[in-house]
Amino acid sequence: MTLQGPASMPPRLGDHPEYDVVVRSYVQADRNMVGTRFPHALGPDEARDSRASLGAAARACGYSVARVGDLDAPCRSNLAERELYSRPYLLDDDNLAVLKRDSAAWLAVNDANHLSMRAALPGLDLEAAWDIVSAADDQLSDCLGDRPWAFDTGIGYIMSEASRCGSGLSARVTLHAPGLAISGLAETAFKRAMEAGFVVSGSYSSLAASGGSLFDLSLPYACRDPERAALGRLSSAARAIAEYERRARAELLSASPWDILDTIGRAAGKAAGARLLSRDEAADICSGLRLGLALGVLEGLSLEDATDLWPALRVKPAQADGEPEAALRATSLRRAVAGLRFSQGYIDV
Amino acid sequence: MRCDACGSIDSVFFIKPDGTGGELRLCRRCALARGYAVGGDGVLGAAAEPEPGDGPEPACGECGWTAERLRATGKLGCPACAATFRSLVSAMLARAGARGSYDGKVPRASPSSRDADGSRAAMALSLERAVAEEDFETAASIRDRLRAAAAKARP
Repeated sequence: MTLQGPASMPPRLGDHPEYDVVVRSYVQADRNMVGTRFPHALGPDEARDSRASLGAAARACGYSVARVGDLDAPCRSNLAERELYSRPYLLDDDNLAVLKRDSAAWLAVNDANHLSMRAALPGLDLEAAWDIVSAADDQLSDCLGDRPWAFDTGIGYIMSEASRCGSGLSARVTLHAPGLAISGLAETAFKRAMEAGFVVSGSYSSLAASGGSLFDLSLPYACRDPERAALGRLSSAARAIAEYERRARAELLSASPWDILDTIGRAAGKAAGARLLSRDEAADICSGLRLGLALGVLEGLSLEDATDLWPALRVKPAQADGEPEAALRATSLRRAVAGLRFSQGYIDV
Repeated sequence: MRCDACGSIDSVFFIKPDGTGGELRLCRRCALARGYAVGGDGVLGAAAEPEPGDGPEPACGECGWTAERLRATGKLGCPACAATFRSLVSAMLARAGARGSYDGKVPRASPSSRDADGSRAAMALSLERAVAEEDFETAASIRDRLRAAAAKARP
């Protein structure tokens, strides 16, 4: 069977804030039920019971719920590549995949904590993502009326990991920063963010520090501030890096256009002509295409569709006639960029 | 000097666990818990023996989790452990960089959902069980109550 919700689908076309640089905003709030051991200490029967009660509450609140073991392989791969669930979570057939039918929210049950409420939106929109998570929190706690969340007025929400007690909030912003990477300024920009207390990591890479010039900027683990204040700080930091990236792109385009146009042109050429593509190479091509579209150098493909190529090209395809995965990936990319072309001013620069 | 494991301020042992120069400062209890100190006659052993009057460390009344396990894994056994090991949890939070008192969202009180018939989640669970057991009469009754509760909850 398959499971679908807005969270597991490509982003809708629209006016997403800072979308030329900020790929997505992710917010997560974890909660635990009073009177139940934490997942790592649960016996099999207790784990089944807590899964059943949280699964029933989720259904009552309008979520689609499925056992991971009942999902087909492409669906599981889609959930993993879109970062809805970790691979270890999806390896346990008894775990639940829980997607809201009418919003970008989804839930993990008995992961590190009893319930993890998550939402992701395209662009820089942490506040809206928090609104979705907070509404899910209120709705589910209403549904579980006789089993309130474990909370202590001094410590905050009780988490399975002692050092993470507090708001139970995690948040991260994924930034596309090829301009900073090409001009060698990425380290300086992200070092400043780290000095300000944020966590920086690369994403979509198995070999290099950050394949596809994607970087995650996250809140530190111990978070005891009001959620909106913490998310506001993260938004400000992301906005500052986005501005830095835009300046780097503009500087590159005016001072040494060959570097940046070569990156974009090669990406367009490979996308249109490659017959075998590894995951990492595909990530770099997506980065070049997205950069070209954001700068107006390329046209004929929406920024949303180009951004969705990152996870979509990593989803394990259903094998056809023994065709290698790298060939299927290249075919998918060629089809996706069929209408891509250079904009008028950049055809022969 | 603070213990690197529990944050208490009576660090005694300076240990290089892998011989590569990385140093760990541990208090007497944490050194004992990790096997770096043993009860005995040696200098380390003598220093590591519990002080007179030190009783056994408390365990969580709900799940039996001990302070030693908390120090070793950084994890609590159940939500009640937070009250049992409050000072240790506070020390761990401080070491993780948490400052000041908690100032975030608090759980929403939901008296309306705690009516005599139980919560909607409990009813939904009962409904699933009744259907699984093919007790369709009960299932129909629960379904009606669930619909009524949902209609009541609607603004």
